[in-house]
Amino acid sequence: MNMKNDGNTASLFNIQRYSLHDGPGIRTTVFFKGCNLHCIWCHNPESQKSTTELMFYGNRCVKCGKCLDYCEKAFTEKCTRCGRCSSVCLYGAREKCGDMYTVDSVFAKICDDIDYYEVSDGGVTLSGGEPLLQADFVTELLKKCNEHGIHTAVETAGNVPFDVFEKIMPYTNLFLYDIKCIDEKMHIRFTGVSNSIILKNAEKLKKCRCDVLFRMPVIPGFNDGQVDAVSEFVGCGKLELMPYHNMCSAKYVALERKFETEKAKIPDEEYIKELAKSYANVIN
Amino acid sequence: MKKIYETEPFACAYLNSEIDDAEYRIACGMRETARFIPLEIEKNTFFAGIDRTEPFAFYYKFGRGIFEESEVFEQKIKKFPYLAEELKELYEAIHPLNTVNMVNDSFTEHEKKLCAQIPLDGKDIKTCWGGTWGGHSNPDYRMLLRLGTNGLRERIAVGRKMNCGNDIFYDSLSIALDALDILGERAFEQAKKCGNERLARAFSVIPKNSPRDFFEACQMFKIVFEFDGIDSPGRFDYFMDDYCKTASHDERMECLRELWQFFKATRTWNLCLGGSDEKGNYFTNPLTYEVLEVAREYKYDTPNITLRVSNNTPEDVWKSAAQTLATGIGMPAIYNDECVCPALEELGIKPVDSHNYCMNGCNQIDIFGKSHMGLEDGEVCLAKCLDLTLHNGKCGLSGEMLGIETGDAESFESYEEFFAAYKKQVEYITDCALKMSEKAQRIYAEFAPNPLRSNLIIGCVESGLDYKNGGPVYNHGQILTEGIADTVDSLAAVKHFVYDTGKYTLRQVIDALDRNFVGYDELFSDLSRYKKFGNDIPEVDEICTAVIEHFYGYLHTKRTFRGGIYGGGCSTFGRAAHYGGGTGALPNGKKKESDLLADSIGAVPGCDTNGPTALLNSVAKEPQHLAVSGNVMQLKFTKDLFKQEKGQAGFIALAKTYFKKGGQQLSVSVVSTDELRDAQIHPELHGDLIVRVGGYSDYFVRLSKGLQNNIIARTEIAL
Repeated sequence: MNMKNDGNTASLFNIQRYSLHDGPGIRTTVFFKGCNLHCIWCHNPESQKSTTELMFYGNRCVKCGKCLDYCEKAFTEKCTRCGRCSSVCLYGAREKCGDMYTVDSVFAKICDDIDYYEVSDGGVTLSGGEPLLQADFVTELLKKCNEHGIHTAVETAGNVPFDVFEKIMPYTNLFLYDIKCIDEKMHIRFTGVSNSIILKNAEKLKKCRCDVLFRMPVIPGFNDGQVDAVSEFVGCGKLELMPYHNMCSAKYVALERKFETEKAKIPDEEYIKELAKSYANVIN
Repeated sequence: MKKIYETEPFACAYLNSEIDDAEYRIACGMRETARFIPLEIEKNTFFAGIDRTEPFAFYYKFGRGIFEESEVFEQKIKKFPYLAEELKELYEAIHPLNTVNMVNDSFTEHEKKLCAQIPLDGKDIKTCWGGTWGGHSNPDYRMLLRLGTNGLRERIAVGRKMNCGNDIFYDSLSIALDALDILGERAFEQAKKCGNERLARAFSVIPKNSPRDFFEACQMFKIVFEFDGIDSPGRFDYFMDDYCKTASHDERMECLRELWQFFKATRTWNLCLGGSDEKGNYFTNPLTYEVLEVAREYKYDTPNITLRVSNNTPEDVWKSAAQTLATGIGMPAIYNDECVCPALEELGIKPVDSHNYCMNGCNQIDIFGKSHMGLEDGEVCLAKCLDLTLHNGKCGLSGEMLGIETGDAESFESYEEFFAAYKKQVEYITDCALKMSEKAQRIYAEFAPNPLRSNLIIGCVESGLDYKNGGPVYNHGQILTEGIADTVDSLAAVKHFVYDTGKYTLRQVIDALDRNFVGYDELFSDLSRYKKFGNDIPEVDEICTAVIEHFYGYLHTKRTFRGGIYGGGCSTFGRAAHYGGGTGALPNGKKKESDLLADSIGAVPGCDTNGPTALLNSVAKEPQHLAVSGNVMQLKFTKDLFKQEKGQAGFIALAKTYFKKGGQQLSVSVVSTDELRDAQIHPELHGDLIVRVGGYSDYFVRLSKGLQNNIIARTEIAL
């Protein structure tokens, strides 16, 4: 499969309807596959690789051997996790994650819930992965939504050239801008990349006249010491704290990958509420 | 020493009646009951009530007619040995009049097999069911409060003049009112005697005259409601509106809290709030909010609260409803006037009356104070009809011929021919259910008329006919259905794999079903993983439209003997699991041992994988305006989501959009699946866990295992 992004198609891993937590109202969230950060706490591990990949659910496997007939690499170290064997599995043990979509097909799906957006002042949110890595597609999709009066939000980690922001800005009603931490070394350790572009872009974005909600995932024992610094950085902007959860463990198992923060403490509501009280710009 | 007529007043008066007329006999029984039934009034009693610590062995109940409680009968013989002979004589005389038995005896062997009264091949298999229930209704309590029994007697006088030669009927109605007056007089005396001045003051006026304030109105409603046999309060905020201003918020809350204890103790049915009138104005008053508040406070599983909404429902009403739902009691169920009222008008109900609808029992639609809508007339399990179609009329589990011959697997050249065969089976089974229902309705009309309700339901006094005999203004019927989505998914799979792609023959599919898919792994995988209803998939949703249009449309061509039209609905109560167990394997991948059948008009539990908007889009495409008896749509939310304001707002917007698209009803469970699973293992720790079952709320631990599994399997809206 040609995974190269030619603008009119994009690699997605999910289109989630009835999202309530990624912007105002009832929303459809489009999850783009591929990310240039690799956060160790990532709750969408299947979003990191841009290509289609295999999710294997061992508990459903009856060891019928159909996948071995189809591909000799199955169950061996040579397996590339391309996911094609999912087509022969009768038991849903092998599932393919990720597919190519055209702008029109995604837009049609978005339109299925247009009545719900209208009643709830909701809309569409592009998330990921990092949607801005597929900027041409994103621009076209946002443009189309904008033309049809659908509220648009883009959730980004911001690690892209600023001209991408400039390109989509006219069609984006709200940016959900993730900041993991301010300390650069810590950022490299937890995400694999420096945050210098991210913070520069954030500064620039703040100066533009667009609506931005900064969001910070709070993972106790990892980045929770940085809330002060992030709040200070956000300044007179708005910041939402996103408490860590480990509901994604099963996905790590299916991807046969290690989930490094699995044992991290899950912050309870009270903790987040108390934390929020200490900062004027935190909206939780 | 007690006399026989003191301990069994109903039976004695019924048998000793001077006039041999069922209505008259029952009225005499009611009057005598009112004379001897113990009343609960002490110095500090808040509302007077009926003391049921020593129940009657023989009595009349609105839903069951005349019947005997065998256990009570045995106990009484032991307690009053000197009355044993007389009690036995009563038993001999009353037992043949037991209305439920009469109905059951009227069924043919085939009918008994259809409704699982006779097991098939040792199995509990149910295909349909017809009317062994005398019908819920909502008496017009507003009229009662406004007129008092004195005013009701004036109505009788007018009716008597209009319908000459019908004196026995009007005498009966008058005797039924005597019963209420006697209750009032006795309550007055008893209250005075024990020094309960407030109650004495109330009963110096009620029930003969109109109550003077909110407390008296509640008392009058309560004593009549209780004596009538506990059904559905109906539009409570509406009929109490006259009195709302006569009390402060605190006083009203005090009364409501007392009523709430009474409702819980008696398992009261449906209480309805809000609603728009025919001009589109939305009715609400402080009681609307106060009832929702009391429900939050006590978290009881009863009464079954319904909220009517329209385009003009204030935001605060929605919010209050969402807060009550967040407690997890599954109430209120929310009904959309914009869908219900036009549907009722299609049956010929006038707009002024269609806008006066409320719920009965679980959540069947009724016209407040003006109807006998046949609740409940019968049920047809569509999934079982499909099973019969696949086996040329025979039951797939037992081999018994239950339906009619509609052709072997090889005889269908196209999907259309196969679907036509399915329709024939449905029509045949529906006819069977209607025959059973009509037998039952006629028996109830002849042997178990209700002179008290005939006073309180408009049309009876005017026409001179009993409420069960076509007296009310509206006399429609109701047949509910089960397993819509299972049928749709099965038809979709057959259409695709047999007729569109030809991957399997119908014979192969049937063989796989008969072997419960053993040895058919690929076929099972294909069928069970094929597109399912409830995911906003046009080609599957179209099949659903065809299934519903056919069934409800067919019902609309059938008339009740009482002078109305049959309507359809989907409200499966706890019965989905019962029908599921008797349905066998289906082409949607349902296995023989699975109890799981769709428990509402939505997806088969767990098959809606695209979220609630997709589910509701699918369901909103159904021709819901044909479902005049209530079309229950179940949603299950997690507690975590619903306790947040965002979650509640998300639900409100979801409901509003669904209703805008033509949806009729939403029932909401707010639970945590982990808690439900734990409750199966440790029921003793979860005695108070309430869930929404098809049409009502119930304690989870009380439900059968099959039904519990059904609820757990419902897709949970989390995020």
